[in-house]
Amino acid sequence: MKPLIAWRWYVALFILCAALGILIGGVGQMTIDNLKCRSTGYDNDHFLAYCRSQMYADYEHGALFYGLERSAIDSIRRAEVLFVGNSKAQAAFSSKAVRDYFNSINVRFFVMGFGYGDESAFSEAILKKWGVFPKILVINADPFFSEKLSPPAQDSLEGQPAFLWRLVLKSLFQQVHRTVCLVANSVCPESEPSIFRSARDGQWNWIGPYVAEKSVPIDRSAQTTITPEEFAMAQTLGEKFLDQIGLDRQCVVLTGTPNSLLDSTAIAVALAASLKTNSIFPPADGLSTLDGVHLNLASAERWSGQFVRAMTPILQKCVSASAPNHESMGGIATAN
Amino acid sequence: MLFNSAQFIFVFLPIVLSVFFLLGRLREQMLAVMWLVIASLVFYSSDDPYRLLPLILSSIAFNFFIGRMLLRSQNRVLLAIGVGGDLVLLGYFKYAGFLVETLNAVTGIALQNPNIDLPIGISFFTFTQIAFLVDAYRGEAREYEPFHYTLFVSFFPHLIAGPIYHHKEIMPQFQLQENFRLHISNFGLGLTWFALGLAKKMLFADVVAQYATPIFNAAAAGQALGLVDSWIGVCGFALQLYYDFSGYCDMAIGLALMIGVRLPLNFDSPYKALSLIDFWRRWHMTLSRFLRDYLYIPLGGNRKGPRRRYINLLVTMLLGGLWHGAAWTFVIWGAIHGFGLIVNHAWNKVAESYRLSLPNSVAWALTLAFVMVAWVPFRADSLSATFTIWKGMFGLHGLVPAESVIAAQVTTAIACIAGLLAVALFAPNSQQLLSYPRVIIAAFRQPIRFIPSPRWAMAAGIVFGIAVSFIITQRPTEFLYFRF
Repeated sequence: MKPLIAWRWYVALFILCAALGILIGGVGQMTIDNLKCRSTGYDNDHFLAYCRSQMYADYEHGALFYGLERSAIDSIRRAEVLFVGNSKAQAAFSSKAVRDYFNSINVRFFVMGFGYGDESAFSEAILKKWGVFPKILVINADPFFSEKLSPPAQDSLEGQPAFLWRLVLKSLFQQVHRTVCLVANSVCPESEPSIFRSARDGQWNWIGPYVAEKSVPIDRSAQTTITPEEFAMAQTLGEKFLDQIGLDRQCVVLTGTPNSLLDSTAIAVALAASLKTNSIFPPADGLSTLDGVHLNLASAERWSGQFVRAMTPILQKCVSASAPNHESMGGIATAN
Repeated sequence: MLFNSAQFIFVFLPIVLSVFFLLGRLREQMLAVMWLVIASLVFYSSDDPYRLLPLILSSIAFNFFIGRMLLRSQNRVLLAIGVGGDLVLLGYFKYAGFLVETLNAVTGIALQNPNIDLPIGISFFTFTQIAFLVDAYRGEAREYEPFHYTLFVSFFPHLIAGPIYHHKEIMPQFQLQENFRLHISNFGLGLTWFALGLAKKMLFADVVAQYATPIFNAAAAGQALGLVDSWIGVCGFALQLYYDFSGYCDMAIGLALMIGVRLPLNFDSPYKALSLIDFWRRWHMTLSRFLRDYLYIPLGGNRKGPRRRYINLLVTMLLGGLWHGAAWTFVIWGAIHGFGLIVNHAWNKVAESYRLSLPNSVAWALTLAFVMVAWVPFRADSLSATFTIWKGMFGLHGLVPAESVIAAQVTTAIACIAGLLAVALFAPNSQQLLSYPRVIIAAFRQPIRFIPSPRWAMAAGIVFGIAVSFIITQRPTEFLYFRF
């Protein structure tokens, strides 16, 4: 090879390998930093939504906003019933009862709540970005309608190069993490709690990999509520949000997941009346939480099971596919 | 701006090189020089333009006009004014606070410390220009255009931390027409030098720093250190400093090479030295050359008998120490090396007379141990921290005291230090690894010879990429020599 050609090839190959090196180095560092994240929740359907390791932390906000989990985006776009809200909604609707119910009636659903207390601003951004038009929208309205953005939601919307780069690395890291921990389990300390999310229906797998099942009874005496100003703001933002979604208000279902901190039910009842939407409130007696805020697994199964069964008439009305009409609605308050 | 920042690698450098070679292709040589001047000034002053830009421009203007007058009439008074002016500037910014503190301590008066922030690179561009004035006085420099002179001083690859070069070895290169055209061989070789330097900084220096820094911080906080911690701290710092500064110099050489300019080498495997004299021929070679040519020899060098030679050596090393920083710790470091060199020269004389010689392994071990012990005041924040570490090194606080600074990381720290020391001692250095045109290197075995092969491109490219990935995911760290 002539020297000049050799140098041209050299520089070209150098640049190509440098790009590869950046990727290798980035994933390598991400792996070293986060190998301690729990790996027990991976399967073909679940991705690592969150790990308590500081160098990983949140992934799901960016992954869903930028479509890094392609199959999750497809599921959101195809979902006929979409659940939105904060982590309380995720805890409540991540249940076998919900999955079994929708599978039995062959209706696609997606639980699209977010941790870090994110509310309507981020959900709205995702719905707009991916052109999502569900037939039924279930909202954990306590009060949900807010302009507040959490730091990961803010980072996602800003899309700085450093954030995007880390997001890509987190995505690639999961392949390495899953393989390493499968092949050489002894090198994975499994010490950092993690939350896995289903790409098919958005449910969290977190009881176990993130937090142990506990039973903290709901204490209604300690519940507070929002201020009139906050309620008025939620009303205004709610009108705007629902107008933009363009869904028949009868196909919008408001609820409030039971907890000890906030009288979510009362807030949701008032908002549903004001926004003229449907609402469902399964009984909260005897329910328990993990931490006073999020329903524990047993209570989530019971409460969400009653919730989806109570949705049956709304499903019949709003989803073209036939829905069962034999479910009992006894003891469940519904309103419109 | 830092060489090891994404801003420099992905924005500054591609823009500067593209415009420079475009102007070169259009045969706009003067515009290309002006472009490099502007780029260098942006590079230098980007963090604090209102303070740094007037400072460097006034220093350049002052030295250019004094130098021009010296070229026309080699006037000793003019030289004194020029060098004096430079030293006043350096003294004000670098030594005023130190002087006030010392005066307060000695006399008991309470003068207010001016607390002046040290402008980055001032020691380097001042020394470069003092050398120019002396060369002009000696008739060893030629007259150049103001823009060429400004580029000589501010040329961004060398501006902040050297290498300290001579007017005569750089200026002609700025006038070579061929250097204004892109030569893919120079560019490729420069890229490889830069990659090697970046890897030294990001993958070696910054990694070993995480073991050394907590130990020196603990000493500064007054914590007694055990033998193991102290030696890990000192060895870690010795390697951090070497890879940090030689990495910077490799990057500087690589950047200059991309545009066809050859900078002088600054390191030649200093930890392989077999004596202290040998060490100073291998460590920060351009500073050693400067101190020799512009201080030691004018003081009389070895021409006035052994006693005067030893005094000259001590004075040179004391001032060399003080050049690194305005603190007594640097004076002590300089004094240790001054005395070490005196002993070394005296030993050479005795050994020659009695035909004595030390086995190489003993000479090497003694030299390395001496250099390590001397690094302590160079790094420590204070004299008390220096003595704390020295006591620890000699086991006066026990092997491992109850509160070990890096107890949980001892094994990884030792492994890291051993690995990096092995590279410093047994691997070929950058100039041995890569060919460097027009530089004659002393005879050495060249186990790995650089050729522009796919294997080299892949190895260098991947190493570069990994180092860059560290830059992207972490905040870039400053080079240690930036503070001098």
